[in-house]
Amino acid sequence: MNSKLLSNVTEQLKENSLGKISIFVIVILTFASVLAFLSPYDPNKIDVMNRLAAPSKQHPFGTDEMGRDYFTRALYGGRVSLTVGFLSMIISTTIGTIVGTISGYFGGKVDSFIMRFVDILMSIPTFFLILILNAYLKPGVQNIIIIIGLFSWMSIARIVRGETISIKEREYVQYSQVIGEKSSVIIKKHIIPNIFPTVIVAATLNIASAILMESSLSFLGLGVRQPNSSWGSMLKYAQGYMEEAPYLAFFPGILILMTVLSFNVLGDIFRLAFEPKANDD
Amino acid sequence: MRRLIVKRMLQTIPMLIAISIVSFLLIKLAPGDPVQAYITPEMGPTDIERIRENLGLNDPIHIQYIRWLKNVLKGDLGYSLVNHRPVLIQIKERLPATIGLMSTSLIFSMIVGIIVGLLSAANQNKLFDRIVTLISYLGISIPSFWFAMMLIFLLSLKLKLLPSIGMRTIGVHSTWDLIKHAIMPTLVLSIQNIAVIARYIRSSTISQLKEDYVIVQLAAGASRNEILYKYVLKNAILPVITILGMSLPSLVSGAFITESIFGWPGMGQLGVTAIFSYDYPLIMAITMFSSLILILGNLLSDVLYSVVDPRIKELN
Amino acid sequence: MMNKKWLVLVIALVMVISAACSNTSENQAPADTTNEATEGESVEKTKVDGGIFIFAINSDPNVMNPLYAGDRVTMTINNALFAPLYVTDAEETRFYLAESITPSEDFLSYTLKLKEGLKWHDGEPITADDIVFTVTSILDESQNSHLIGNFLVDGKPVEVNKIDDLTVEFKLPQISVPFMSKLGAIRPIPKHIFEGEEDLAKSDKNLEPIGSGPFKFKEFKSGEKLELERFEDYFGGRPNLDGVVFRVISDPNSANTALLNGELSARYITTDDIDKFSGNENFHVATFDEGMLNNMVFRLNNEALQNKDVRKAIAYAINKDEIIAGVYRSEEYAKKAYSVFVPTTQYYTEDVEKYEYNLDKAKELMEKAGYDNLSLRLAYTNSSKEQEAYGLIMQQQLSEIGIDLELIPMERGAFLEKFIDASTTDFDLAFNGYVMGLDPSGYSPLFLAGNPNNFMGYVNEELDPMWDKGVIETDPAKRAEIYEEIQRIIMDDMVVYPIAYPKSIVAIDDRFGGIEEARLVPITMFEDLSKLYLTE
Repeated sequence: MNSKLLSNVTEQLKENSLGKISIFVIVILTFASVLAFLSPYDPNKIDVMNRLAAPSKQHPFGTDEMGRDYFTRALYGGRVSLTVGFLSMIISTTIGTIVGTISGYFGGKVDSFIMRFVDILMSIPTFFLILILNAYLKPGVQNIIIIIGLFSWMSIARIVRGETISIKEREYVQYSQVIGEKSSVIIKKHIIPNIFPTVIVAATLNIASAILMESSLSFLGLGVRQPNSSWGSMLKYAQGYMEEAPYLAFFPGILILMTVLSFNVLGDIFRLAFEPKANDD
Repeated sequence: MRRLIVKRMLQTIPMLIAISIVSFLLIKLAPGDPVQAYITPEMGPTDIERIRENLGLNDPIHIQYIRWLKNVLKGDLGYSLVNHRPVLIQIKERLPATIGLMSTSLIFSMIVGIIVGLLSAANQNKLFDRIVTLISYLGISIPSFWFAMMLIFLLSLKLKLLPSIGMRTIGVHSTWDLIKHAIMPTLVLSIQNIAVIARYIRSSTISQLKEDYVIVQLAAGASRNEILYKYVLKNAILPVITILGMSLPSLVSGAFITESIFGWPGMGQLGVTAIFSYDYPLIMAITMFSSLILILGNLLSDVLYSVVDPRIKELN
Repeated sequence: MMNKKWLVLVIALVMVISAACSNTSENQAPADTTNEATEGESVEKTKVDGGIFIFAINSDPNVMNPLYAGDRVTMTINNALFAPLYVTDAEETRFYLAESITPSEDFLSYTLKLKEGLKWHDGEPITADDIVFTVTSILDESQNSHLIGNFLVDGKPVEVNKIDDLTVEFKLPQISVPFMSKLGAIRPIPKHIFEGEEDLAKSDKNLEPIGSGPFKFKEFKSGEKLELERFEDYFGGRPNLDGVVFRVISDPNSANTALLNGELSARYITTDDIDKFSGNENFHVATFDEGMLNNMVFRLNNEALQNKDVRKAIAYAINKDEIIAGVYRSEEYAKKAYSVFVPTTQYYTEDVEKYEYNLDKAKELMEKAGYDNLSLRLAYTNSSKEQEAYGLIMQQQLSEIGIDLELIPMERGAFLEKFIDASTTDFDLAFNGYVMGLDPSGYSPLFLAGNPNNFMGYVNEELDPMWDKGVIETDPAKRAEIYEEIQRIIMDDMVVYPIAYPKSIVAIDDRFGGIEEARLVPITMFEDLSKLYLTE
């Protein structure tokens, strides 16, 4: 099953040059931020005599208002952005999958209760809620991950629920129910493996939106704390130097754009690979 | 039909109450203290305690909630903790700017999204289509605040074409002035929805083009464009109504950031300021109003859909 | 009884000092502003009637009622709407609504006389009743006015009586030195408008305020602007401008862009922005001294910081030159601070331990104190770019002596709530800025043991009586000695680390004149807006 999915993905990638570029971007950025420590500069090393230096050989992205090497800061910032994207995706996907399967599998009152709850959460503008919580809690990467994770599982839960309901109707699941297998076993054995492709797609797109969310929060000053950086917080500071140092605003923005774009493209590729119907598009 | 609307309307009431409980709890349980709005460096701890007592902040949380709910039912949303003005009046003042911006953006993104999506589908896999695909990926991936920064940099700072902030120039009362102020905020708020709508229209048009009736007509000698605009468009546009409901959350969320950056005097800007000053009566009211916009938007799109789609009509 | 006697003396002295200061600082204080002003004014400009001056404010005003304004935005607006009784500064006392203020011989009562023919914006006369009403409202606890402290002396209220229509008498339960200047700063509210209102803060009357200032309320659009128009009957003469407008622009960067685009007339700018405006012929950049000291407070409830050597080590490890260069670029915009007094304060001295940057000495002191590494938390207001920059630079500098500094940016209200209570343990160091005035005795609350304004929790039993001694000493030479010694002791104890004396920088649209007459002042930018005019 999995090897088939994988071969579908490679097939898709062969035709799609945007997809190849996306994978390349994600891999490069991941490596770069993991290996950020190789940079000769300390990301937090202040050098006031060398502030707002234009991009050069020594400083490919220039230096910021404190004279810190902007390239190194961007690498470390990428670490934060990618970590937030990935970890909050794990949280939201886990919650979404569990809630969705329970709701879809058991149906009835459980289902309608859970779905009403999801409706309510989806009717509150989540960005505003996250903003509220972030403003009140101590700002920091940990809190951002948890908050974003806790407020972005709803759409996954809905998708998983729909998928679960349709799988539940399949013969082998009904057979297992008849022979009296425990619900937990059925969910583990039959439901989860079958919704797996859907979850992968949703999870990939979730990373993209989590990274966007983190950058917006950091931009509003509710994200990572100084001296640490994320791409969003770098943009917050760059805003004040648009006249004299527009490159400060340019680089982190492009990095966010490229990363989010790559995950979105990747999500679509997974979708095409996992849903043969959609292949025709 | 009417029954459906009434039923859905009634459903929103318990939902709004539930939303209010959820947000009240979140705001109240989160650390942070509204009394901070009153503090000046000259005060002592006893002054702070006296103000806290006067504001009713020492009561248990459920009492505070019930008091809030009672007042809301009487039409009293309370007073801002910061500027002591009635919350309802402030929302009323800000609502037109927000609704104006949102609806302009919605209409703008619908028109652009549909046209681009159709053209893209008609030219499937040609250069135009590829470019549109790439641009729509950019549209859903670009951080809106960064897009706004780049626009301000280019159009205000460098080219000096557009004003960077606010809704009107002081002392000028022309529509053109208002339009000039609205261009950038509308663009920023629309970019994501344009991309989503264009993608949606593109794929639904493409699948329509594969339907039997198109093949039959083509065989009968009708031109491709004729089919596209006469038949396909009608069927492909139907899902746009659903999109209307779908794009509301991003509009509401987007308004918070967009309005803050462009100093647009709407509810979103008010909300962000309220959060930073712990002004919880205002935060509560804005949460409720934004939720209301979302719920009503969804309701509207459901109702519209049932009007347009006969299958749903039959069910009722 | 002893107390009273010397307090009378203090007041007499304060008056002598302010008179004395007026001679010395007259050519000093405004010098900064005229410096650059002359350049712009060398071009002939004609004064025209009318014009609108546009300020930027970062949020909607709070209550447009002087009894509640505690923030910069509302105070700036109230300055246009409501006139004060009089303003006392280093040079002189300038009278606005008041004609005169006369203390009794025992300094226990003050007689205030109002000018004749004063009018509110609605045409009603301003009388003693309004003054009495204003003060009674402030003293009414249920009205929650934060000015209540100005009329409480040692916890007891000041008594206020109407003598005749233009005369009010204030009776103090005890002598209070700062009472006179605090009284002058009061901006009265109209009795005929507010009488009978249950809650003044929530009153609808605040939405369209009736004041006494040079400009009256015209229109308010939340989140957008507040428009004021000329008050023809202003007692100081008909204002030159047609009106002033306050535009709401929350983001400082957007505000700069708006100023550059000509959408604003003036704005406080930071050193970062200077190049944008000083090189631009459409702007006139003026700097002035707010008499402020930016400093870092040590919380002495932290065990490590109780050790004087640790505090001294920190002081030696901080490189002020780097901070000035990093935050202000040069001393042109902020002078390095060595004392807890500001240079304009009487008996200010630099003859104290200056703690010039000395890493070896700092390490030595750390070793002596028995710490090779230490974690400290430094709190500051999150909206202050200046403080954040201090923090980042100090974080790096202190890491050299093994101190790991954690930066804790806090929302302003949250920060103040913790900061004013010296017993809280949410942080060990904090940035603060204070303006304490010209009289050295005014600094005593900051350092007296147990005083609520002593944010360090500092106790020095030898120091405390010296403040009293300084107050009663009549021989200027001996007084100087006492206050210089006080500065030396505090600096030696290193409970407050003085960082810099920053200057305020204002960029003003060059088409406007009358800036000197309007007077650049802290917080509200101009003291008397009626004097501004447009040129052609």
